[in-house]
Amino acid sequence: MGRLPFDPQKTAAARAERVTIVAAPLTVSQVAAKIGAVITSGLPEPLRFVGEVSGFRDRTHWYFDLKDAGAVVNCVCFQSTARKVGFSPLNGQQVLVKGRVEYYAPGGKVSVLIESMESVGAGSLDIAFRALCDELRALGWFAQERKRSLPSFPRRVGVITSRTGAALQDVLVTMKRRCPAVEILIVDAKVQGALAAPEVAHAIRYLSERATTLGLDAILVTRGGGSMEDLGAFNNRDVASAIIESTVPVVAAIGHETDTTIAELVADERCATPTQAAMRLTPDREALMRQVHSTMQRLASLTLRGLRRDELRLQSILSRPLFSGRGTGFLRSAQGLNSLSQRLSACGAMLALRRRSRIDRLAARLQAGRPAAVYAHRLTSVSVFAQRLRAAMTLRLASAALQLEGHTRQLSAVGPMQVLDRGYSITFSTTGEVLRNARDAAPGSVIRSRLADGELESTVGRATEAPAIQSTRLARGKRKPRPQDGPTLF
Amino acid sequence: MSKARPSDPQTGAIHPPAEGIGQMNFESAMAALEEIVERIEAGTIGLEESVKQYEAGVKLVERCKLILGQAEQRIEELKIKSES
Repeated sequence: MGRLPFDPQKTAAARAERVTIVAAPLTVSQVAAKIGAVITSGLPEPLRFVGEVSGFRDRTHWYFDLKDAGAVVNCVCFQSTARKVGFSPLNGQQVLVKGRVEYYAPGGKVSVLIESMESVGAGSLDIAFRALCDELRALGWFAQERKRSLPSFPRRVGVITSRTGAALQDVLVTMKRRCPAVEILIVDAKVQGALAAPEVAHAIRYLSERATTLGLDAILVTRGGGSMEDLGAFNNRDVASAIIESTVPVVAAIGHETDTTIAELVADERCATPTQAAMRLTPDREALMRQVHSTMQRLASLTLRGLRRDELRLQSILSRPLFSGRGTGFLRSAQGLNSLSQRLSACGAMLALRRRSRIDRLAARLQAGRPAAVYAHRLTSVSVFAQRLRAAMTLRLASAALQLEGHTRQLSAVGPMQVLDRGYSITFSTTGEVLRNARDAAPGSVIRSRLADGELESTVGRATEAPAIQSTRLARGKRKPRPQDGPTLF
Repeated sequence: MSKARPSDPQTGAIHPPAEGIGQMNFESAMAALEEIVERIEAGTIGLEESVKQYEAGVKLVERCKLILGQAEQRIEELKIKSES
């Protein structure tokens, strides 16, 4: 071996040989106190320095690191000071702080106790975010005109998020409450960390390419709140391009209301929270139910109005003279046959009434919203019915006319002209009354007799009562009372 | 998202009849229903046809109610093999 790197004469062992009383070893606390004293005396004044916030934790007091490219300093900001800062530092944010360096013995750490803090410019993440924003805005990716409207009632929505996240639960609960009919297709993806961006972008492209076969009408990309670093995947260019290339509208709800990410800026619709996104994507079932009902009522009342219009047409046809109770002149003049005409019109009215009550029944069913199909099929058009009714009435009137002719023949058969043919005559007094009793004709008065053919005028000579003839008349009257009833025939 | 109008552009006839309604989504059913109402409202169709249209309308309403009335939420999960 060559020369030793130290002088053996000056080692602690050599010195110990010369010192008889050896001091007891220090305790860890004593060492810590010595370190603390050195730091305090060596760095007595507060330091002002600039650094990027990282690993920020808000636990009543703020704990974070300030870093630059080559070093990291641990910092603590007590609650009383933190209140005065006026903002909550974000990871990546560049801050100017003033603080005293201390050795924190229980933690064995050198920390800077922050006394004041202010923001200086933007952190690198923020700078990158702004640069990407500018680029994409220039490309027109944020343009409102490019954005598609969401379906008012999607059949199925693809939800890209972390399977274990609270965001998914919020989405599922809200969508179920709003409208369970909208189906959900969940795609689990990392929403934080280095793998998040590629996974989210891939999931969007996967769903977009298969939207038709999967029956998707929209895609929801969502995650809950986090730091700007946590949300990094949604400030990614690849994710943004996957969103704008999507074949179906994309809704993005990333982080809290105050967070704005690139994904949200390029999405067709941006929502503040996962719950709000779910509400935006699902229709309000109650509102739609009301819409369906009101449309149904409009349809029913329109159909009913049409039916009433046709009913009025039928009524106007029925009120024409042919069908009216007044009958035709022909029928009116036929005494004793009036009842036939009444019967006919009553029959027509009844038919109409029956048809009308059928229409009313149908209309009632239509209004009730559940008309039997068979009814609609059996419903003859009212105009067609009116034609049929007219034909039926014409037929009945024709048969009535035939009947009337028969009655007229019968009437003339029993009339007085046939009796005169058989050799009888009718004798009238001077005043033109029919003479039934010889006493009614005074001797010397002129009487007039009507024969089957022509009339005779005679002067009465003598009037005699003829009991034999009267008894004959009575006997005849018993057998055949018509001669007595004769005059009533006129 | 296809907003299929169920009417034939040439004949203007309402499509599809009963058998197609069962497969319609809410939007198509609602669109078809609105079209029927507009037709009847226009007053250009006869009584018999309007009753037929009414019947189709009722079927569409039933379809809409069926969709809205669905109480069960259908959730599926898709496993995607990540390329990265």
